[in-house]
Amino acid sequence: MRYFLKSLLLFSIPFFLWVLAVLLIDPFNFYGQKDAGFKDKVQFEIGNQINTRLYKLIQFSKQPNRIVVIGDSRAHALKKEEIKKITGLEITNMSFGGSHFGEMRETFWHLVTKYQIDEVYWGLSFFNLSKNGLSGERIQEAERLMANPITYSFNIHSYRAIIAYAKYLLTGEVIQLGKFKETKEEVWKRQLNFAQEVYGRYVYYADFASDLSKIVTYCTSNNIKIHFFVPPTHVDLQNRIYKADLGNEYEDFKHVMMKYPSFNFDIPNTLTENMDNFKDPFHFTEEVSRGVIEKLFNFETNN
Amino acid sequence: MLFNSIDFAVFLPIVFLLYWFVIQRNLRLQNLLIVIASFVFYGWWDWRFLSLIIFSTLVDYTVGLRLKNQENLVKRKTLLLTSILINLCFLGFFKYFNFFQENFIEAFSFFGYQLKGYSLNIILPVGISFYTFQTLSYTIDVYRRKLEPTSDFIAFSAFVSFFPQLVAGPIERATNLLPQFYTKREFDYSKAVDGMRQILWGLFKKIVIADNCAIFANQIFNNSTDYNGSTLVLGAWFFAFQIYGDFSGYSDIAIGTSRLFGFNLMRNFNFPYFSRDIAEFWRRWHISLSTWFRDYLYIPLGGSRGGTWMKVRNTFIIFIVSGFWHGANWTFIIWGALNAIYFMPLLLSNNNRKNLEIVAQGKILPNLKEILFMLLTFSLTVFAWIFFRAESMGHAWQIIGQVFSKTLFATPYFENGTRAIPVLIVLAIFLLIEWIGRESQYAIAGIDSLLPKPLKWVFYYSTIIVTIYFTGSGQQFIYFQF
Repeated sequence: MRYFLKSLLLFSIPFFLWVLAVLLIDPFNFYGQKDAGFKDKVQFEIGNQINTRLYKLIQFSKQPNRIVVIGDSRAHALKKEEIKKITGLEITNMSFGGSHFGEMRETFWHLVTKYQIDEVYWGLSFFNLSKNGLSGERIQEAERLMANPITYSFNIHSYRAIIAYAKYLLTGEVIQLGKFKETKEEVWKRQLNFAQEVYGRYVYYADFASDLSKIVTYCTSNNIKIHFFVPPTHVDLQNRIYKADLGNEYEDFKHVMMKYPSFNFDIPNTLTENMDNFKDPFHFTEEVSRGVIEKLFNFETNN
Repeated sequence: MLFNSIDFAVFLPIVFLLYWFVIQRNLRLQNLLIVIASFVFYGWWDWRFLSLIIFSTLVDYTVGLRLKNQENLVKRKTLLLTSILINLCFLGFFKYFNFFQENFIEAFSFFGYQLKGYSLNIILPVGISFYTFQTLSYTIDVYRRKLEPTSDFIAFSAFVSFFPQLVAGPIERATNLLPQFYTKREFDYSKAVDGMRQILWGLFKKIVIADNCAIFANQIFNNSTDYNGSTLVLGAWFFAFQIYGDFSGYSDIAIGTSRLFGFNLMRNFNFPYFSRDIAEFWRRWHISLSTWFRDYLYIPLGGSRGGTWMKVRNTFIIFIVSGFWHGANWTFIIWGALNAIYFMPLLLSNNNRKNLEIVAQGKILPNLKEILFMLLTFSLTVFAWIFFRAESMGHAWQIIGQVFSKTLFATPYFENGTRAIPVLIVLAIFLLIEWIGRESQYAIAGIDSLLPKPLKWVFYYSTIIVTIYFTGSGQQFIYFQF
């Protein structure tokens, strides 16, 4: 019996060492020892790159805020510093690049059920609403991982972050995810092709209206102000919707959005016709983001 | 409590240490600890349903004692029927009430009578089908005088509620498990190590194989109208490995955990996907249920003793009942019936007991004929899984209609399909390990004789790292719903 326990203990030593490494490096700031002397901020940068959802949800649990922005990379482009400069409001941006509606919905429910939230700004586009891949599994996974020290220590994200940090300590290199070395024209073309591929297989999420209605009803009964906005995209991208024969579905989307306080920036106009206002057909520039912030946070609507 | 949860990772060492260090000298206290631990384990999910287990335990314990001194056949039968009826009533109410009611209403409406139904919002108690069958095996065996009834209530309670196999089997026979509670358990190092190894392999099957295949199986089955025939076939393959990894993984963890406490449970899976015909498949898949039906239903119905008609009838009965045991849905019944149909050619040609040994025993590779028969059996099984996995008969027909269309020859496509590639690679490695270890109790049971200690530890660490790497959403075990 004692030999069995001794062997088990011996076998477990690497796991104890691993837990210790996670505790010391803490790439997602789970233990919240941000100011401990032996740490720098690189591990957080790495953690944020490896699993931004986990990192941001943990950060939010340490520093909750009553005003949040939800959405994908376009909503993420509304920087909190810029919002503070323009409006004086302290917000937390809980948008994630590549999010679809399911993930945004999961983020929303996570935030409003766990924290006191007063205002939500939600960037949502037709592109986010394909039925395929609508699960909110990445948020659920992050919730599971931040549930206790064991799940936090033993998961692929902590593993990758610790290895990347070790690499940084040895070589001074910080990983860079998702960086392409392309010209703007190449990026433009690639993104349009990507959109065409997505719209080619697009299946409109039929329960969108009822999901949104549930969300708004919840907000109303809990005194949460909610504002939707459709981020601006270049007309090249807007036209892809019609090319894919999704005009009717798109009209339905707009019709649903118009029932609630919302601002649709995604319409053909001088802003969206000008390539200079965009980094690629999906993503607007910082200058445009300032305009979006001004309109959005002044509660302007165009519905 | 789930085996793949943090709760269980904390619970198991506590019970283990108490069992072997604090009360190891007292058999009754050990049994009592098992009862308490089992109630905590079950109550973690919903403590209210513990009352069902306790009631079932009391009924069968009492019936067993009454049967002991009862010689009158009519009274013996009455006692047996009391036990069967009470247990099956619970099962029927919680599992089948809504199904029967809905079908009665539909049947009457077909003839023009409109009945009003009261659909009850019933929670299905986890594992009810498993422990009900286990306690029934006790009263039936006592009735048949195959087993001496116990007067040790604690040992009997521990037998009914034994936590490793309480919620998803193996469905133990009283003749095998109950006597183990009467004898003192001594800690056995090699048995404990073997138990740990089997737990590790079970976790690997559940977390890596089942949970990852589930992602793609769910995606494809839940959006089946969006996919072509070849993708749906791929989805059914994913489901085949999901359910195998899920259920056999659970059984491995259950058997391994029992071994840590000095118990031997019956084997539940014996590499079923290497079967060369359906009869062999059913000797290797969910063995504890198949043999339960054989011993307590098929044989009492006359088994194979009568003529051809009786054999056919009894075979259909046990397959259909087995399907119905899985759930109150026509899809399960059709799944059972389909397996009975698959079985018929073998039964009628007296070839149903042809492949009793594992394929290619003592050889490295199977021959071409064996490969073809294994592929054929696997394909038939996968086809039947479509019914098992479908939400309704309509859903199953839609999938089958799509599978048998021109799109069967199109390239499979589903969103995030590239994410499936590493899963397919791991699946191939898993099948290879299963193939190598197919003559053992479980795939890696023979690793002791195969690898030196350092390499063995490398294998264990690698398995753990791969398991962590592939840890997904931590899905519930499929068989909990049965």
